[in-house]
Amino acid sequence: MTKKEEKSRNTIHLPEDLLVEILSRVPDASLARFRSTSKGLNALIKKEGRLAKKSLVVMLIDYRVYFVRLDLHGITDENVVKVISQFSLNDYPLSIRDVFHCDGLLLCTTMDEELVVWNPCSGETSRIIKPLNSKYSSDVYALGKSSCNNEYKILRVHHRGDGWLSPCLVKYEIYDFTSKSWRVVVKTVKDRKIPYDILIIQQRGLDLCLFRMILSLIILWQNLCLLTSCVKLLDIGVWMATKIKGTGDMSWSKLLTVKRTCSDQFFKLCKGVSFLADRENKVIGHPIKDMNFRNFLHIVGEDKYRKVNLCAVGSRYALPVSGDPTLVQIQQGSLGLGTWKEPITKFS
Amino acid sequence: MSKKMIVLKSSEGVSFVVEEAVARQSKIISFLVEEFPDRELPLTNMTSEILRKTIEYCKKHVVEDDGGGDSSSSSSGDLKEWDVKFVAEIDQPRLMDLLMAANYLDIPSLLDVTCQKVADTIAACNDEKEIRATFNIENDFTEEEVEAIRMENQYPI
Repeated sequence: MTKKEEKSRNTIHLPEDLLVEILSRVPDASLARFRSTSKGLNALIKKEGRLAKKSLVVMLIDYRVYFVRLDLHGITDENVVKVISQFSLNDYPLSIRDVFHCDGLLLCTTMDEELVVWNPCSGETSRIIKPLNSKYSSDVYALGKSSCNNEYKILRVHHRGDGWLSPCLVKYEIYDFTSKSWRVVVKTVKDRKIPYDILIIQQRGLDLCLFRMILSLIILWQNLCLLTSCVKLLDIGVWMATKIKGTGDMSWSKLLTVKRTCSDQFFKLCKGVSFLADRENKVIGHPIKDMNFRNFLHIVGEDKYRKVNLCAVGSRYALPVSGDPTLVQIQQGSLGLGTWKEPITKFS
Repeated sequence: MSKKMIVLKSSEGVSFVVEEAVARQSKIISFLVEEFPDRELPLTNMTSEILRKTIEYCKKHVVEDDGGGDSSSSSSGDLKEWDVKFVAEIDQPRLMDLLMAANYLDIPSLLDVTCQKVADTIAACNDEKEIRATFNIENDFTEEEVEAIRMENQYPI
């Protein structure tokens, strides 16, 4: 083979659109490594919006839902993270208290105690029958999809008691879109007086089952899966799917453990809706709002924690909704067909 | 009923006789067959080796599609397994050629498996040196520039 022929087989000589197609399938850490291979490839990755999409987060600003793209590497000395672009989904008439999402499909709790599934692409909404004792300010929800049969489910985690001064009763319920009903899957008591080991031995089967269920439910953007689960009573383990195969099988590896040393950090993580993860540096970031509804980016590592102001968030920067290809179109009637089947998960 | 055959010709001038249904998985060939029936189709930018591989892929997929109506789940699983093996057996430069062929002939499923294979190969590399070696990329950075990019990639914590 001549030198010229050999060169023509380099990746870099692929047409740009094919190269972008390949790189959009590569995990963040590998993409970062790929940037330092050559100047041409670095320039391509920098300019290509599709490859930067991983910094896209869902946020609530003034009771409205926004999709926001952040420049994480441009945090200024004033502790401000730059918003690269954003668009608001401001056609929804109700004031939204909390938002949970999966594939661009949103689950919203509203200020007037409604629970609504909303497809911002089509404008289609579906009101969900409220669970018993619904208290949206303290309940935690997750909207997710079974990766083997594409069925949407809602998980509700209901806490009663704080688990510190009094035992905390935790109830996990799943909403089925076909039967339009809630089903209690697990009821358990979290109490700091019960040592962790005993709790696990007593409920090993149950805990693992529950753990797996939450794993399969909290599925976030771009096949990046992240979840929180109480590994120890005092810590949160954050797991991440390393691969989702077409068969629905997933491999999970632990990204980091967040210690409950700082309660602020711990609880805000629990409330997180949209996460950005960096596997190499073992940190995750997510937007939060403080008591005064100001927006921050919350960055959490093993023993690191930082709160950064989010700036330039205002309606004058709003972009049209139709402009983003990462939102999927949800077909009417595609919610919850057949029965729920748990995907096979593997821990490593 | 005998199946309709068409002839594809590689860049070396080697002719491949293929069932029309097999070749029609390529949207380009599908179009050409309708425009120019009963003509040999010259594929001047594809070597015999790559054309043979492409036909092998199309043959496998057309057969499975025929009988796949009722036993869909297991056969599609088998097909996926076959695809994985198919791309695993090809070396890096030929995989690139096959990817280009899938793009040129417009065979979306073949493009998908080849792109995924390349992405997996990139993901399996431990550092930029390994990526450069695997894909034969010439390094035009200085050590300082590589270090600067590494700093940019760090999470701001």
